[in-house]
Amino acid sequence: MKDIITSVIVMALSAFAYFNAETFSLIKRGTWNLAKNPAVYPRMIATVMFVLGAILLISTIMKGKVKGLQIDKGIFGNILKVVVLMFLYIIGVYILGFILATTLFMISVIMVFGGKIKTALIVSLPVTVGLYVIFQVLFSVPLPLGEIFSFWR
Amino acid sequence: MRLNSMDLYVIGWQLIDLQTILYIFVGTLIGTVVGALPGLSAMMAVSVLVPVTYGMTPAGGILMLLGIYCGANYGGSISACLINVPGTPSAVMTSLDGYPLSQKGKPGLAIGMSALTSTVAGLFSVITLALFAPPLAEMALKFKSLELVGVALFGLSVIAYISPGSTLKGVLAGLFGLLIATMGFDPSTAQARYTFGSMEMLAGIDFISAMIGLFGMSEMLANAEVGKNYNKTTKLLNIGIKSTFECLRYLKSYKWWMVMMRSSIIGVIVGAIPGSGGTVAAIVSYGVEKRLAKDPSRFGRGAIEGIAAPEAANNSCTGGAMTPLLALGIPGDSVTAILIGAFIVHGLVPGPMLYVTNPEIVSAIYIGLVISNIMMLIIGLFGSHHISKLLLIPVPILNGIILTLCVLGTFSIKNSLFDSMCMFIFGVLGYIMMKAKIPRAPIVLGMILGPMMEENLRRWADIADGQYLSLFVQTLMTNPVTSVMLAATAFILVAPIFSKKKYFAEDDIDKFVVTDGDESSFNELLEIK
Repeated sequence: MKDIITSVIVMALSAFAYFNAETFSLIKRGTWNLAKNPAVYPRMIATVMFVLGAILLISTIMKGKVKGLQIDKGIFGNILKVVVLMFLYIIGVYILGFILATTLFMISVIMVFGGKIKTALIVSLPVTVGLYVIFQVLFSVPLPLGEIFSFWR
Repeated sequence: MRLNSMDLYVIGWQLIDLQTILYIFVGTLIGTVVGALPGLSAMMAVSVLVPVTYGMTPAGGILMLLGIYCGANYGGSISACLINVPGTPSAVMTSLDGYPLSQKGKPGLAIGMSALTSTVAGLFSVITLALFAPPLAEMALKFKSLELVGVALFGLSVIAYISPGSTLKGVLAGLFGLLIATMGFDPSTAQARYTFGSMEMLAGIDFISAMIGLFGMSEMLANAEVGKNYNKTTKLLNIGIKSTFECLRYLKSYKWWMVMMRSSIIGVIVGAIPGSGGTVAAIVSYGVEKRLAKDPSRFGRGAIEGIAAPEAANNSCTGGAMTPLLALGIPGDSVTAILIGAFIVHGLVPGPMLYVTNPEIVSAIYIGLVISNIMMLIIGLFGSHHISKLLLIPVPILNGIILTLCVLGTFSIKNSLFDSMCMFIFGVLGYIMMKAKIPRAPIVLGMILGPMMEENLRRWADIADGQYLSLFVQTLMTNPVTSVMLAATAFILVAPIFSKKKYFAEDDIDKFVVTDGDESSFNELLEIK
């Protein structure tokens, strides 16, 4: 089943890439000038991709191993939590700044990964400060300071 | 300067200052720790830490990442010997004899021996790298546009072939990478492609963010599957790691040197075959030693050769894998594929031109690899006691730190949220790909090789001026290298259709690891090789 979904997505994606290339095709329809037309090269790749996707689809069906998809709800829930936390963290780093956002993220993510709340609370701030020192001070990589604190500066 | 002149071995010294040596040390240490911790891979460490090197000199940054690469190859043996869990796949054979030896009360000898053999074999592989890469590069320098397209296709098909899962899916992943590489400005006409009206997309998608998402975040998502049931029962053998220096007396043994030579040569050769890495080398050399031994039954019960052979082989792979990277710009394994990205970040393109434009960097890489291997011995002999304690760090904290590094690293590319968001999308995509058994490394390689391939293909098309077929045939006739390269590519892509068995692929090893080192599956594995 996974292979069928994969191949359908691949074929849809490559078809989209092929037809979307029309929007930036500098030369009028039907021109296959590889050197001058920026649309030709992406189209070549999209075509090969579509054909290989079709081969994958056909060979999977021919093998006849089409089984249903099984999703473990517990596992899926945990992964979803991490994904949502990551999304919030990326936005949070920008708005709240590195130290605050990372501390909050660490506390919650450690608990999602199965750590105890005590460990999470004790460890988060020192780890955050440690990362800050390593990046900002040792490697001089600039870290976000947080938009809401912009009045401060 | 001639490529194989002696200068190549010395001019790098000007770039090696105290700070660079410190970076190499830090890199090797991080690598050893990452290697020792099961669940953290060298691929993840290198991709997540590329942004850390932004502020460094090119030599410092690249050598630090190479240190991680070397260190991780060795570090896997620490957990293999102490908790019977190989920290990296390539240490899988080390655990067969390393753990029994530790149980006999000699963990120091086991860990010391793996450090010593890793270092000796690593140094051997640097020498072969320095000897064989320059002539190969000299040949590759004559490549013109069509050959370069051939090189890119060859690299992509090799990584698609070697990655776990079907070659077809690997090729699809590679094509997807090539397609993503076309996003943004077209280099020759400055026309925007697939930007969907977004300003940020004009520069295309940074492969660093794709890399960190695919190898950093997605692996952490996979770790989240375990959730609250993560392995809390990790128990170290509660015997102090003493007398790591005991291994040094083997330096006097003629037999030991023979084991070293055989395993190192196997390692270098397997490493240099693009795509096959340390795991295969370790298995092959272990098998060879077991076959040559007078009393094979000692193996699996703490035989010293059983540690020396696989550790020597998997570490000499580093130099072997670096050879096609430096000489042709083709990665020898998935970590070196990511290292290409690190080179590009620092404005360098690995490949034959590097010998002409930046010989001092090439030279510094040779010297840095030597230093890194020596550091490995020092860390192994003096520090393994402390590193083994890191195995007790709770997994949730480590996962949290790595996820933070993913966001930090991508944010620091251009100080913008856009790259972090790209990382996020690729992270989710990478996880889905893991579940669908589609290899991830070809995407990154496609994104890295894409621009070079397009540029050369279109330059060639410009020369051909519509007469594609006749110029193609003409090039094939006049230049045998192109024909060989394209024929090899075609062979790699077509071969799996006729034979179900992949040689040098990592699939078999996964099976072996899953069966927990069961004797029969191991014998089966040896017969395949």
